[in-house]
Parts: sequence; structure tokens; C-alpha cells
Amino acid sequence: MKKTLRTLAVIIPILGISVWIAQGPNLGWTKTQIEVQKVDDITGIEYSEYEDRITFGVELPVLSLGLSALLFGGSFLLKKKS
Amino acid sequence: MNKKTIITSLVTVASTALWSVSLQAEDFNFEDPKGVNNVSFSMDAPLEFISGSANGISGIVTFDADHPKKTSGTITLNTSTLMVSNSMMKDHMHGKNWMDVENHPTIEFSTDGLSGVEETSKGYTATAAGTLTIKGVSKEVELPVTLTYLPGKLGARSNGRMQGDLLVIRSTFTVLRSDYGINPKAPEDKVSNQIELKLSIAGYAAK
Repeated sequence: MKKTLRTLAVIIPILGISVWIAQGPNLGWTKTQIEVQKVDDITGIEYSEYEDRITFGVELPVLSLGLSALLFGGSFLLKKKS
Repeated sequence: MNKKTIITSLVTVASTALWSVSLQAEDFNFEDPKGVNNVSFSMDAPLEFISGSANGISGIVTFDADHPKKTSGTITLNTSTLMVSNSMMKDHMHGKNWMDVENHPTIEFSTDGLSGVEETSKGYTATAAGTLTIKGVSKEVELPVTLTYLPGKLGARSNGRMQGDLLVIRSTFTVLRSDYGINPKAPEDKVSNQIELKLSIAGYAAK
């Protein structure tokens, strides 16, 4: 159990930070929609359309590191198998 | 041809000319079924950059290509269409402390005329003096505007369903959040007091 917790404590932040970087490290809060810029052919007006898509913000690496610390700390509270 | 006939003819020609000039003023409707008309906004604070847009535009502007100085009208923005990329932030923005969309459903700008009109290759640049009302607070402002008149282009934009002219209005200006009671207590290092607004709208006059 102790080993499992410590393994998770390593995997979770690696996954969290990897996903965050892979999406393009968004330094703001998590976005539930993305803004897509378009141009109207006739008037030349630039406008935005919003598409539902999650872009993780700084919460993801911070929470995954926090969870990792909790799991790692929790592993010390477990008794050794006798 | 006697003198009376000549005078009558001249008066008739002059009246017709004046009538045709007054007919050139067109009412442009800015309620865009394509949803392209928009106002984008941004607030650049030291700790956070916030941006978004809104597309609930409506209003009528009277424009005469021969007398652009006489351009007048009202543009209204439906505040419930204000969008940002985070749904929770959007809910906060619509809330009582910020835009209070429930009690103040519109932002409005009206003008009676333009000043400093200059013709450019793309149309006209000018200053529109008028009243800007945000969250129930009305202030006299002067907005820099560019006008692009596109005669006969409505057909192309509506896939031939309507014929007529288009008028594109653009303006970039800044308002202070504190001037209009938009959560004036919010810390300026997180939410800038300056809101940069960029208006890009097209109106149509069907014939």
C-alpha cells in the first residue's frame, strides 16, 4: 500500500504537468471554452466564436502537486507490514 | 418659353435635387442575423489579463454618404451576450457586483453627429460625441470612429436574399471601470480599471 501511494505520488504530478504542458501551458485559470477568431468576408469584421473545449489552467499542475504531496505524506502514516 | 415657365422649371429642378439629396440618407439596421457584429473587451492588469466579447448588437444609424457629418443614431449592446473563456468567470461578470446583467440588460451609445470627419481610402475617420450608458451610468464621451460605406454589398452578404448597402463602423476606446460603478472595489492589480473596448459592427439598409 505504501509503495502504491508513493508510486501514485510520482505518477499524478507527472501526468498533470504533462497534460498541462501538452495543451499549451495556460498560465491563467482553466477555460471551459476557447475563443476562435474569424473574419467576415464582405465587411472584414473580425469576430469571435466560442467552442466548448477545456483548456486546463494553473489549477492542474498545482492540484496534482498538492495531491502528490498528500499521497506521499500519507504513505508515512501507514504502518509497515510485519 | 416665357419667364414664368423658366422660373417654374428652375424651382422644380432645384426641389427635385434637394429631395434626391435628402433621400440619400439611409437608416442602417445593426441587428446582425449572422452574429458577426461584436464588441471585444480587454483588461490588462499586472496579475491577470482578461478578455472577452459580446455580439448582442442592435440599433439604427442614419448615414448619408454625401454628408457623413450628419451621421446619427443609437447602438445598443445586450449585456447578457458578454462572454469570456471561463464559464464561472462569465457568471461572475454577469453578476450584481460587475455588470449586473439582470438589472442593466443593455449598454447604449447614442450620437447626434460627427466632428472632424476626414475621408480616407477606406471610408471616413471622425469623432462621435454622444452619451455612453453603462450599468445605468450615463456619461458624455467622444469616440474615435471609422466608417466604411459599402454600397450594393448587402446582396453579397445575404446570399442574394436582400439588396442594399452596408455601413461598417469601427471604434477602439477606453472606459474606466470605476466611472461606471463596475465593481470599483476590485483590486486593480488583478482587474485593470481601464477597459479597452473594440467595436466592429456592420449595419444594412435594404432597398
